[in-house]
Amino acid sequence: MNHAIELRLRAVEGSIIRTLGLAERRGFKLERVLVEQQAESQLLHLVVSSPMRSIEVLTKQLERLHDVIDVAINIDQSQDYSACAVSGG
Amino acid sequence: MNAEIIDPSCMNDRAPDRGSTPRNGAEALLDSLQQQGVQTIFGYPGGTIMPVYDALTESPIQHILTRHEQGAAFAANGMARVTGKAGVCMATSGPGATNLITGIADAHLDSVPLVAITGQVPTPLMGTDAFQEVDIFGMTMPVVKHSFIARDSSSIPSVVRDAFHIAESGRPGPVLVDLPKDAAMGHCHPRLQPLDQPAMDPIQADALDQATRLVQEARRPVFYLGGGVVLADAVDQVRSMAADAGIPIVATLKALGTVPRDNPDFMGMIGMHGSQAANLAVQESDLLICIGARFDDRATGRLDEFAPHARVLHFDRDTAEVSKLRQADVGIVGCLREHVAAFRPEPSRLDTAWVDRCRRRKHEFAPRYDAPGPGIYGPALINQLSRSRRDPMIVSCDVGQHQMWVAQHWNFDHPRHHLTSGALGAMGFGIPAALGAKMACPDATVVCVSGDGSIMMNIQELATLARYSIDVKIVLLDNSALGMVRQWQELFFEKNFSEIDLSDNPDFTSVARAFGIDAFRITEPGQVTQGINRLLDSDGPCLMHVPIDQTANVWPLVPPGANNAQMMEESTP
Repeated sequence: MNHAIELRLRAVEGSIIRTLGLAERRGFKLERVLVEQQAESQLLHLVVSSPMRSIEVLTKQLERLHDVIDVAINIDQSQDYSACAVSGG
Repeated sequence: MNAEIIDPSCMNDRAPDRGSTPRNGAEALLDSLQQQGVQTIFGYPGGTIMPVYDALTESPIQHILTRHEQGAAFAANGMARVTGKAGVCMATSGPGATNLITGIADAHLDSVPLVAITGQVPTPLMGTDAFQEVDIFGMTMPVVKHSFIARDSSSIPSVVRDAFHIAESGRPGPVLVDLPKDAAMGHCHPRLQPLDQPAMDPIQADALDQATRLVQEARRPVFYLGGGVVLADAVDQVRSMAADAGIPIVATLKALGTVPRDNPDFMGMIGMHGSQAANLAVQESDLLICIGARFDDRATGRLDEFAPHARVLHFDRDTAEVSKLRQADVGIVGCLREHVAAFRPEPSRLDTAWVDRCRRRKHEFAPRYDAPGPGIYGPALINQLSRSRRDPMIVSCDVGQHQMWVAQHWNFDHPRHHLTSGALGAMGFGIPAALGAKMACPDATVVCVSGDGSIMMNIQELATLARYSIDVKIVLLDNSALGMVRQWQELFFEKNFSEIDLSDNPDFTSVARAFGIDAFRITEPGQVTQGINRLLDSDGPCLMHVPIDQTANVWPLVPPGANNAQMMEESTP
């Protein structure tokens, strides 16, 4: 099952790779990734899947990263990320 | 190489002109460490960290030169475990930095506050495969709580302050500060932003009410204590609460010492090498009151059969641990010390016959110290040593059978006096961690219990003990084998012994003496008392070499894939 997550990150070195790495290490496949640079932060849109692991637990694990400002799950999934690769704004 | 992006000044290895130049990043780093209360750094110099070592000669901070960077990381780790304050280790870029990683990973998995400082090649060279360049920031990302690259000299004071705050606050952990050489040598004009003070966690009164009701409804409640009790400095609060409740208590490896072993309600350690009394109490319980534990696989055995009848009340500092592996009926997230202090469990429906049965089982399954063979019996020696009370006494373990024997047989008085690489299980931890603990607690008797496999992983730190006269007492239990691997091959791999033979070990007493450490050997049970006294009364660091029987295994044992009620005893075929 796919889960859409939207994270607001501090715009600091390593914050994106740290977040993506955690999701993969915790057993989630990265289905889609989109990065939007904002004035003082970065928005990271993720779609992840895992046959085994709880998205709620992943969310709590992401929240405790120092660079993560906030996390929202199950956001509007109608947005089409299918053409997106990792990209900066 | 693009010459335009290389500033030759960043390659300058010359020392700054002291007195005439403004403060540089390296001096600012040491000043900032001092402001954090750091008195000791464990480290090893090298190319890119040289500006810091240059400034160090003018700093009041004591530097302990270990003989391997892994020793530095474990020494800082050991210091942090006994004090609760972040330990500091330092190394150069490349191999120096990679050698720190095992100690950093250990701190990560055991939630130990640690600040690791690594030199880095100058920023214009980063990403060019320069000499001794590795991406230590990237390499350590999975095993740190957070990390920084201090690219700008002026950022160093705020990076150091934030690193300590992150390492020590909430659930502690390691923080890496990677310091490019040009930042260390550049002029520093500190820009110190005020630190955001996190709001105090409110007491979760509603959840505490639910918790109280769960306890009132329970007939067979059990306290399940974990290392979080220690991290929160909640030992006194837990002791007080447990004393009033009168219900069985079990502890994980990391929580041993929270409740004295002779407390009638204390059933012992749970898990793979836990006690029968502890494991059976948990398996029979109808309410697990989990305080700062995380349902680790070595503690739970087969997870889906762990405490199968129990509801779960889970106190933890880290919200990500609640319902991670076992769904909590009530989760209470926040400061453990405050929540435990506010929690008064009143088990009004307690099955007192069951409590009595638990207490009887504790005696029925109590360890026996009548040695099965003619030689020295490791568990008996460990128990006797721990009762040779020289208050305070800190024990640091390496990893393997002796580590589990310490957990099973040491008479702990406080969990901060038990240093063990719990989650990572890193051989080589023992001597450097003991070294760090002794630096932090010079008045304590610090004992390292090691094995003949583990001691060789960081034996070079005997030189550090000798150089600084750090008074660590080493007990080396030598069975001429990698004993725990041997045990598993014996039990679960049809005695197909593979690469566990260490019968060609060096003469460890000669090795110790070559490093300048006093050493002696005991071989008969009748020499144990005299040996312990000689070890503890020795003037300075000392090693007692104890050959033991290779077939003496760690019992009881929950075999892999079994639940915790299915423990193997020594007589089990």
